[in-house]
Amino acid sequence: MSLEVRSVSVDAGPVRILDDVSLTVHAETTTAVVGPNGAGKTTLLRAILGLVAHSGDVLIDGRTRTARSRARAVAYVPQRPERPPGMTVVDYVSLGRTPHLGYFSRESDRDVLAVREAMTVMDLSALAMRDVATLSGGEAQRVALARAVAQEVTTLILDEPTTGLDIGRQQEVMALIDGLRRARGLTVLATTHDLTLAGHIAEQVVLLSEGKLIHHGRAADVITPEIVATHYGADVSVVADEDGHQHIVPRRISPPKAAEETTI
Amino acid sequence: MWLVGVGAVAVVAVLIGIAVGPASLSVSAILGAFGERWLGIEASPGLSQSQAAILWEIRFPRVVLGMLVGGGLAASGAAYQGVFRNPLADPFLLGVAAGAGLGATIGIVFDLNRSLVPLLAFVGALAGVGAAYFLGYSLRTGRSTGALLLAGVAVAAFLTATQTYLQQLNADALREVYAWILGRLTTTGWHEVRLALPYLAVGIAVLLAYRRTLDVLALGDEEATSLGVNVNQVRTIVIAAATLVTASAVAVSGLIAFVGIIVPHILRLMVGTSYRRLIPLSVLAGGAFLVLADVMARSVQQPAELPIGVITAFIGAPFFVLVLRTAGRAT
Repeated sequence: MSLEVRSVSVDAGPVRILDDVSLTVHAETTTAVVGPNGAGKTTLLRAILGLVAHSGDVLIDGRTRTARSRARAVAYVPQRPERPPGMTVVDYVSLGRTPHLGYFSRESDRDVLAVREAMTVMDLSALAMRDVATLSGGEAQRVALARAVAQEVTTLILDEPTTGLDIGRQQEVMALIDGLRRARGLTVLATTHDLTLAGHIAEQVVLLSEGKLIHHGRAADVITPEIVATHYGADVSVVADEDGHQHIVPRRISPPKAAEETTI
Repeated sequence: MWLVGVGAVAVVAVLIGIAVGPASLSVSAILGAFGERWLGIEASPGLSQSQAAILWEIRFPRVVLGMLVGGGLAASGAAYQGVFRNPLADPFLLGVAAGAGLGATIGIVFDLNRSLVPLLAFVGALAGVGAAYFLGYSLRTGRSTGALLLAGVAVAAFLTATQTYLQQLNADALREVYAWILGRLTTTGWHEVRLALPYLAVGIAVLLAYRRTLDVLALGDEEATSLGVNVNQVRTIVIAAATLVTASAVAVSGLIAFVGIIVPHILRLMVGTSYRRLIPLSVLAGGAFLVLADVMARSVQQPAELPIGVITAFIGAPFFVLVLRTAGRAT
């Protein structure tokens, strides 16, 4: 089970927003997509999901897919999942069963079971009848993940899964995602702005900048002070802890000179 | 569970609708007559011959028409709100009302055979939505439903202008056109039911079939697509089915306002926003609401009948405000 992107390009009118990107995410591994704002991270995810017209091929578990077949293999958790007011958590999670149902068929016992299991895995049973619009950020992310679990896929695509969460909820959500990957043998592709996190969770890190794939490799090779300075315009130190995990620490406290000039 | 409760309300509404009128029929006599006809149980004492005629040829067809029209309008209102993800969408949104109004006005103003009026209204309604739909899709930029709504507004304005002009040409027809536009449930035996039933049944069946998919659409186009749903195809089919339902309802009963908005919204407050529950419940509750509104329309000013659209709006508008206030407090 793997995800393969072959020479994918996306044009928005005259502008090429994703330029000839190729990468492979091996089965049961996590790849983090990093890069500055506007680098094309979300566009790459959208191309993989068939949400945007693109050239090149996307192979999921070895083959290109129609929309419905893709939905049985790939689940998507956007940065801010839509939470329709008035919809209960259990109704929301059960929408993950959609690709397994015909338009007209009812949910079978099998579907109900899959939904219940997804809720248990994400520790949502107590929230089953809550309105999804009233959930906190961390709860909402768990609910969205539960929907993805109910979808029973091989590949999980996440757009900035920890953005907007407090540090405790970030760790909780990342632990849940990693637990899912191990327990279910998922292939995970996630965008993130958190370069430290990228190194912790992902076997491979992909750096995009201006629509192009710049680097692809282990975090230690991709996230270096030089590369971060070049593509993010940021001044950082990379500090390794005793476990060999690297931490990205911003060095600049005062705003850069250029920014000062523009704001005055 | 809700289905049983609302179903019971609908049954009570049907019984009231049959029982109340200038010649009142007792509920036990009605049940006896139904038992006799459908279950072959001898009823004693049965209805007199004239009572039986009132039951089977006047009251019952009218109540059945009320259930069909009310249920159809409420279900298609709910479906429109789902497709456009807009709580203020109603079944008349895309030019159904203006198209039907123009069709009926043509029939009345040119003094055509009155049996043609439903047909002209039906064709006008479909043409109105068809025009809005194609205009919306030819204008559309991106994947928003906004262009479709704006096209609906333009088409409705144009058709209403044409309708008003025709109506002014022939002032004699004004009263009849006006009465038609306010809506009513008058029946001549089973004729109207037979006319509308096939379209209503097919349309409502499609809406029921797509109720789960409407929940998926509530997640927005991107997430719905990522769940394998062909969003544009679903939207087209649901709009077509809801339009068919609305057009046939309008053809036999005129423009009955507010049912398509208030019934789904009241149900949302009771059972939540899932279309899996909302669509079936709308069919039953919309039918019950219209049957009861019809009872009021024909008993408030006996022997004259008020237009049913006046009753639904008179009760509906304040209720709607109440619903909005409650909903505003809840969020």
